[in-house]
Amino acid sequence: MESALYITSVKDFKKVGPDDSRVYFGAEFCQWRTPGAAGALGAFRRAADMGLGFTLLTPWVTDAGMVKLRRVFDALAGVSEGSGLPVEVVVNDLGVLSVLNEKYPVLSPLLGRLMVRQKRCPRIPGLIDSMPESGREIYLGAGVNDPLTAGFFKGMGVHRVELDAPLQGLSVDLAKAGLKGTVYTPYAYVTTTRHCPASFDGHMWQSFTGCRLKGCLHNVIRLVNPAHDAPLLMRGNTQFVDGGPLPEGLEAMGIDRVVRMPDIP
Amino acid sequence: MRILSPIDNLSEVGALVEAGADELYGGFVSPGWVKKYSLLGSANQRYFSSAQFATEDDLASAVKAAHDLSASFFLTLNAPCYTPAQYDDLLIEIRRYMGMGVDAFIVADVGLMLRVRDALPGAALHLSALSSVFNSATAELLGGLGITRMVLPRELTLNEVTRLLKSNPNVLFDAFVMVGKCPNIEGFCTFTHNSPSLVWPCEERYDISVVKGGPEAVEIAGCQSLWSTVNRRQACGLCAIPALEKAGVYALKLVGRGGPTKMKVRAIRAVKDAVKMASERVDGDGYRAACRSVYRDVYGSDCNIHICCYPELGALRG
Repeated sequence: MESALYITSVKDFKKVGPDDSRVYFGAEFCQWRTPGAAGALGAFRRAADMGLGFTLLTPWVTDAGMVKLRRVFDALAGVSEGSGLPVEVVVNDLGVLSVLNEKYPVLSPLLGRLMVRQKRCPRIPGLIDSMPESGREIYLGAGVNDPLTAGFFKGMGVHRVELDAPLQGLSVDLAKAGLKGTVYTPYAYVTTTRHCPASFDGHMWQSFTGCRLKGCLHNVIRLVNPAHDAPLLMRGNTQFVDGGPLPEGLEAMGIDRVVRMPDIP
Repeated sequence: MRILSPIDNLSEVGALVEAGADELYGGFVSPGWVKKYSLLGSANQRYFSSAQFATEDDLASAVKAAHDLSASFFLTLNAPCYTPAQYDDLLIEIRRYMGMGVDAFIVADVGLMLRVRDALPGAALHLSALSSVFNSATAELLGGLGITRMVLPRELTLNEVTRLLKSNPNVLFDAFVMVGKCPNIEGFCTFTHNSPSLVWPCEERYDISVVKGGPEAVEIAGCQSLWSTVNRRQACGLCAIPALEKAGVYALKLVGRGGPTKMKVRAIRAVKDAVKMASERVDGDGYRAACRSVYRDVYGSDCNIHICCYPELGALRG
């Protein structure tokens, strides 16, 4: 099982452990947190110096966000070609996947957590026991596990998908879909917003157009509701649950990589 | 611009069309589906019975009644994903719905789009907001799958809407203007929406505490707690109608499946009035003031920027 470290700042390279052979770097959920070309190149070079594989995390984007991302892709495609070192890109936006597929064949796309269609609400463990077995399947699997859907994404260069291990459990057969899988631990994604409470004083909607406070960098809040099986943990615009220990049998599901998150991303 | 309204039962058809709806959309989960998968495994993105037609006969009659009044009828099949067995069942059901005359299916899942395109090429597919078309490249890609009409996500600014539509002139786009603002991005949200109280996890009251950070984190917690103090079902984007029209939006979409008929009718009338005012070229400030007045008539309170569909305009009210 390959181990990778999830970081959002180059300062966190110091957290690389002896078993880690790769870093995931960038932002999955906010285009205002996406590193620029210089930041991405710096992280790539640092990873290369440490003998680590490099995976860039990218969020969903607007057309303006796409312009910024393409500058990052230009830079990374250049150094990847020049050095012969592969670069993976986690995509959380169909448009980003399309652009990568058409313009940047040297960069390998991975299908991100916003794209794989998993259900992750912390209410689910208390709900699905009452469901018929055939209905429960939808809450344990992932949409991308469907071979036809997987075929569509493979046609766009995707051969690895990024999964959470949600509270209710996980059951996929990625080999059947011709894919490899990654699982993130311990924080499972739940939901994200463009009304970021950490962006502008009291004016969440202003994060549609930018971010002034960058309160996501230093602050995490916990949201507790008795109806949920676990508290929600929120950094910036995104909520997670602590999924606890990873489930057994990951290899049998086609999962051969674990991404460690030392902190809520 | 056309007005696209939710509908939940046959008895609503006349009232909604008479109020001004040009197009109707609703959901149905067949008894066989419920038995096999339960309503928690719904074929559409609603997990409660009041948001579904009660019987297939009711649905068929509503489609016919809509057509008799020259309105279109779209069926939502916009669950985020399905199991292999559900795909097989869906294709059989879609054939039946096509036989009823359903004009289009509102979908969100790539696997379903691919299957319908291959097995039922006569079925028109519209893209649900759950497909998160935030940029031109996404619209272009999904347009390539044969999707000719798309619902824009709730979280685009008017400038972003304008740019996206300009880049995709061969696709028709719908934009939300009334009822039902989601605090989170619907296409990326994995909360379950099945509480008997119809209060969703995004609007529930939470005990919020700081895990990391100082006074700034306390402010962030306070900001996040706002969602339990506003009524997201009273969302409104009337002020944006002139800009949406200028951008080339095809239909104005209202939310509210499962809501009372009276509320649906009020919302349609409000949109109809606003479209008329917009066509009469009322000046910007005057138009927005008139829309705020319409809002008070509909909801009985002043509009609120937190539930404004296009908050950059809501901010103009000072």
